[in-house]
Amino acid sequence: MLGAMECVDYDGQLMLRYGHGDIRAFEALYARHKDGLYRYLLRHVRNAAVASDLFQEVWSRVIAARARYTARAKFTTFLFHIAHNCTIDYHRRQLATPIRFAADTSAEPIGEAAGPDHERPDRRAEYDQQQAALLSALAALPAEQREAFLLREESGLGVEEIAKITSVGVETAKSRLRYAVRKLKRSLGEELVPPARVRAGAV
Amino acid sequence: MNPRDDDGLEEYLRGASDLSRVYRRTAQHAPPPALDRCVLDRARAARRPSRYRNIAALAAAVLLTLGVLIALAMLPRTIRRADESPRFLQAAVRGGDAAGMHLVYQTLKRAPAAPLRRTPNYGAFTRPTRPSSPRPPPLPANGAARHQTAPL
Repeated sequence: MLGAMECVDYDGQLMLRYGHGDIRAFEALYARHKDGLYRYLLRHVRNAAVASDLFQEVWSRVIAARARYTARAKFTTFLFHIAHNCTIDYHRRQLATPIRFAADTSAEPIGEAAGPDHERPDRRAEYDQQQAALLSALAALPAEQREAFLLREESGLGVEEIAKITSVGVETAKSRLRYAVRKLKRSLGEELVPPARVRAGAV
Repeated sequence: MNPRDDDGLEEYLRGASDLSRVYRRTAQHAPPPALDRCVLDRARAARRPSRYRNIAALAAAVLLTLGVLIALAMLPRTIRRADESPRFLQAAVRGGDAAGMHLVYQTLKRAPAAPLRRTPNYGAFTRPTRPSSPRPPPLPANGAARHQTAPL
């Protein structure tokens, strides 16, 4: 937890340095948060093209806010608050055009997972299976519960920060997270057994 | 509230649950390199002060100054015209302002004579009006009038 606080301070300092014109600070900040933010958006809207658009929009807002940024809260809270607002705006736009909304939700063009571990043929099928199960279980969650879970996983924020980002009470955020975890565990079932244990059992 | 569920949540929040492990193992998506370039380019462009923006600001300032100078040069003529406007003249006459009256006089002297207005002849349609009071007696001749005045 202490490490997390140090990281938060470090992120805030990077943002302040970028506000003073240090592009290296922004590059470091971007490298630290880009993957989590992208995954949060991708899992939340479930469309790679829309996630890319929202990703650019979020970073554009961060860039625009560089001069007036003050490190009052954690940078992660600041970043994911913007991301939350962008997804809310997106869903509102989709509700205004219901035909396009139906077309977009039917598509789920989330790309292949990338990573050195994933390239190994013996693990590929296992990862694919787990990923498919996880994605379908996530997609089946109500939007609020899915967001609470994604915020926790991708930003590493606590319940209080999740409540602040989603503009609800702490108990509500906790309840959403509890339901999300319970439903995911129930949906995944055997997929939750660690691969090492599965392999040991099989051998 | 089920205490068993709460225990599960606490375990999850500690990051020790199988659910988190599975999620982290499978969730390895990253933004495409083109997207990275786009964001970083935008960040660099925003940091750099725009040369064109400075030029545009300078041009706007020059135009504004020119506009103000031209407006100042045109102002006395505009004021003179405003002074000679009919509304101003009417106000001067009504107020009995000496300077205003002089201006009215000068203006009228300069202005060409207005054409005579011809009143329409309604002829038979106009009813002759009866005088409301009896006519005063005709004045006597000059000599008689002089005699009537009291001697000083």
